[in-house]
Amino acid sequence: MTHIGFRFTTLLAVLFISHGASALSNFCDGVRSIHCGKTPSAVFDNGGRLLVVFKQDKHVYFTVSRDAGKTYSEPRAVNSVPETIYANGENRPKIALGKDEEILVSWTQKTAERFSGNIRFSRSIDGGNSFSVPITVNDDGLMTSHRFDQLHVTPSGRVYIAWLDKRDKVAAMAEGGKYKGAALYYAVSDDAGLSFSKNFKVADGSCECCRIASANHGSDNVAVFWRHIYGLNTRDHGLAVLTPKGPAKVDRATQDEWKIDACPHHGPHMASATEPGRYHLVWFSQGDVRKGIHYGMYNAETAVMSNVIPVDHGAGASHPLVAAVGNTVYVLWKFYDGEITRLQLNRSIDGGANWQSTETLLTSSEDSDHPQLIAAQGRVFIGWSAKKEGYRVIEIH
Amino acid sequence: MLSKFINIIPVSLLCGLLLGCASGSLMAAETEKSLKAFKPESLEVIRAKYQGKPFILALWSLDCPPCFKELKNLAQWKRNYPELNLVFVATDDYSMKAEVDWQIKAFGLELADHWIFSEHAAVRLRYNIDPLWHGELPRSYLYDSRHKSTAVSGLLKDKTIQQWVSLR
Repeated sequence: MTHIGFRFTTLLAVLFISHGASALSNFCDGVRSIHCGKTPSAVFDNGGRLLVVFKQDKHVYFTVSRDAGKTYSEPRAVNSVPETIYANGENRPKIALGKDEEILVSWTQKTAERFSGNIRFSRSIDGGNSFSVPITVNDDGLMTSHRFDQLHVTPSGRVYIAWLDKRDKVAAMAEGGKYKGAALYYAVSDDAGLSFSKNFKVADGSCECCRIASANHGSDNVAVFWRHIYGLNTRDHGLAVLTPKGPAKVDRATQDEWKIDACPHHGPHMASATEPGRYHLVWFSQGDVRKGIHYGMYNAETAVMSNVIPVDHGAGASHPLVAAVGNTVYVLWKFYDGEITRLQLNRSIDGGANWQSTETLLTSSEDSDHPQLIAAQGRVFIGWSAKKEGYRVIEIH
Repeated sequence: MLSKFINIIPVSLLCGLLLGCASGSLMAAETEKSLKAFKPESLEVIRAKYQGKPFILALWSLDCPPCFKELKNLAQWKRNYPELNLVFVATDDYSMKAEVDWQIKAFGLELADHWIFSEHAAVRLRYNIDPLWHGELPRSYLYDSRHKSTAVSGLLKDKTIQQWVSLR
């Protein structure tokens, strides 16, 4: 792959001097670049290359950085045939590394009807030089919502894709009935994405517009954490264990009692704890019981949450993430104060029991994407795309 | 639901209390054909336009399924009471202007006031509307004639609108 990278910050500085504040938008006219596209997602490969996918125009593009985010290769289209692609903080293209370093990519294609979409998947088995013709993973053939894909590879190499699906709403309405929200579905591949299983339903009545979080559950299964509708309109969270043969365990994980008939646009996040079956969870709520961003330790076997700690209940606090390396746990979130968006970090070095004081790691003065945490061989990085500052990758030290 | 509302509140009372018809006559609502770009100062422009009058500020977006129920319901209110002051702000990217405009027409809401987020930083526009708003949609503000507002997250219930009307 040709490596024509440039040092974006230097270029931007030059552009600002010559063109003023609109430098990035001018720079981006007709330019295909990680800094000009939307909603990047990144992963490190085993050789330390940063692999990134992002959306620009009607393509998911793939690009590589050999210097942890300073310079990038010429972006390459994952989907050679243009299609409309959802790209927002909650619903964005995903990238994961297969067991034999296959580069796996999923995204949600926007189809003709309102809120409709298909779960798309493509992969590269030659290090990103070429990508397979995208396949549609949802198997119902319906023009309805299959969106908010989450891509996960287990230690054993199985590839899971989970998403929010409205096929059951279509069925209910065809019979004159009603259906609240969407459903959580998934499919599994045991050949590194060459083919996928039939679709499995996990639960009816998920919230419709929030990202799904995932983490390993043993070597072959995956745990997912998502916003769900309980009772009439209580939008708390569920946690389920998915296996290659179907969902094994579906429980309610948060009990904040957020009763609202609205789209929070605010999905949760999770990371595996050191003890098997335990998870660090972070989420946002405006419930009667809890408001703001919270952290909790969850036991998927007993479905018991413990050590729930308020992270930030400020009005400008949003979109938390969590990553863990051994007993070191990082919680990252956005905070907007009316002028500047800050990426705030809380750190625990004892598995989440105690937390150090909050640090600000990055700022943005204009609009910005949701950040991502990228864990790699004991190190954790932040990837963050911002309108003015471009895409930045920094390591948490 | 609306017929129940008519039983509770006489139209003349509606005019005086909710609709701000100072002359006492049910005047035709001002026709707003254009979808305007919502800028940091736009809320002040809206408040000035409706000075001394109650209005509902309704935030919505194309990527919010319940917002479409909200638009449908408020369109019904508007059809029954053209004098109802409804101000819609779509929080979508300005590039979605054509689709937002199409949607407004599809709901027959051309007679309401319509805005879409301009190219100013959306995070700032949101903050300017309400620093305490977390971004959930639909989100509405029920302004009384003195422009004291009540924020509502989620679908506006007819009962809520009725209560707001009866208190004005």
